[in-house]
Parts: sequence; structure tokens; C-alpha cells
Amino acid sequence: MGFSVSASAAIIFISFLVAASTLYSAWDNSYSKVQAAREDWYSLRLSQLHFGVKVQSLARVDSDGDGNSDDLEVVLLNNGTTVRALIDVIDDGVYLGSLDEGYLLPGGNITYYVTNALVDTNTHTQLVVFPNGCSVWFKYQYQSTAPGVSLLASATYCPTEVS
Amino acid sequence: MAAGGPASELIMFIVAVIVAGSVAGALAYVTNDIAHGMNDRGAMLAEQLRTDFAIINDPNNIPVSGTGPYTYTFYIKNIGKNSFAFSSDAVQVFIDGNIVPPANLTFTDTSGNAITSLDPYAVGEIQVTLGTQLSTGTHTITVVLENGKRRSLVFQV
Repeated sequence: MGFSVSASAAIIFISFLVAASTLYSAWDNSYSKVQAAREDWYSLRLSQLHFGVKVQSLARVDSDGDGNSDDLEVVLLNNGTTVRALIDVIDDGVYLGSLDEGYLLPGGNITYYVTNALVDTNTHTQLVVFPNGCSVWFKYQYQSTAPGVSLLASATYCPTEVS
Repeated sequence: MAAGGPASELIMFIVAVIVAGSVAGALAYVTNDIAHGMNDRGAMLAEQLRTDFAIINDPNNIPVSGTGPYTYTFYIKNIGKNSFAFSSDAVQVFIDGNIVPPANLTFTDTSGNAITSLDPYAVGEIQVTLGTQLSTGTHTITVVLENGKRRSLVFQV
């Protein structure tokens, strides 16, 4: 009887040890997955916090060579940290398309053209969205004097929940 | 107290070891279950941290079509690192706190083709059909994904 007590106690203690090691290994695995994902979360938030792209200039040009000066030239300037310039353009609320301009370094510019625009006297709004969700919004109006279009207002913002 | 004789002592010993073994086995089973649960929970949390999206519409200008029912188009951009399911089974849409029935939602890419998932950097469209036009003023749209991630946009009509 004496030996059976010791043997069963030994079996149970060994099983506790094995259980503890299984649980530790699962915890460690889970913890490192969550920490790695947290790094990605932080890098997105930091990219949004330090986003600083704004409109440098607008012009009405003939970039597609069709003889009409009805193409809007937009030059953006980066006052913030490096962003991937894979932009989506929304004009007057409607999605126009996306452009891949590589990377926009601090102090750098990118230029893009919206071709065959409807040149009228109304005010228009355009939104340029970057891969981190941040956007540059601007209001413009075509005019007859050079450079052919005037920038009325602009704003740079990142997606936030409004409470 | 032993019933006497080596045979009965041996039987008692074996029974004691079997009982200890079954306790150890039960412990191993439960621990395995808990370990799988911890792994799953960690993976779920990691996936939720990596998923993010933004409603990228111009808040002052939401495209609307139709004269009743009215269809509003919202653009969703995947700004996270994971693809997520993009269909009426997986995504819920609320306008001013009221849920839009899944039958009134259409999920397409920007060319109008129906899609069921949205990849990182991609833009998808949700066409929300409402019976009555939204009143002039500000409204809120909230989009909730399958993993619980929710994002809102305050827009003006």
C-alpha cells in the first residue's frame, strides 16, 4: 500500500508538470502572436499621427494632348513622414480611380492629372486617400485666368471615430 | 490494511496506479483543451489588431442615385494587413443607429463587379438602398465587420 501511494503521487505530480509546460507553451505562442500584431497596429497609428500631406498647387493644363485645357493638375507636398503613394482619388463624391506613384518622401511632391474634367463655374471637391486611410481634401473652382483653377479650401485628416 | 497475501496487495497497487493514471489522463485532456483555447484566442486577437478599414467618402458629398428607393454609395478602403469578408453575410451597416437589412446592401468593387472579400489597399463599394431619402443634415453610417471591427463616418446630405 505504501508504494502505491508513492507511485500514484509521482504520476500525478508528473502530469501536473506536463500540464504546466503545455500551458506555458500555449501562452507563449499566443502572447508572441498578439505582440507581433500589436506592432502592426502601432505602426498604422503612428503613420496616421505623422501624416502631413497637403495640396501645393493646382493648375488647368492639357496633359492628354487633346487640344483642350481641361485636365486638372494636382501637386501634393509631404510635410510629414514617408507614405506609400498608392492613392485613390474621389472627385465630387465619386470614385475616379487609383494611382501608384511609389513612395512620397518627406518634403517630396507627387503630381497627378484628372483628365477631361468638366470645366464650369461650380465649386468642386476632391479627396486623395492614402493607404493608411488618411486623406487630403480640397475645394477648387475653375477660372479663366492663369493657372486656370483656384484652390478655395483644403484639409488633411485621418479616419477617427467621432463621439 | 492489506487483505492478506501478495496477490491482493498487487491488485490494490495496480488499481491505485490506474486511478492515478486516469486522473493524469483527464488532466492532460483538459490542459490540451485550454491550450487550444489560448492559441485560438491569441490568433483571434492578433487578427483583429491587424484588420482595419476606413470609410473614405467625401463627407460633404455622398453619391446618391434613384428617385425612390434611393441608393447611397459608400467606399470602404482596407487599410489593414488582412483581407476581410465583404458580403451581406459578413458585414453589417447601420445608418443613424438603424440596421440596414442585408437585402438592401450590395457589395461591389469600384468597377461594379460583385465581390465577397476585400484585400489590403483595395477599395470596395457598399450600395445602401433606402426607401426614403435621408433628410438634409448630418447622418452617421457605421460599418461592422465579421470580426467585430467597427468604423463610422459622419456625413452631410
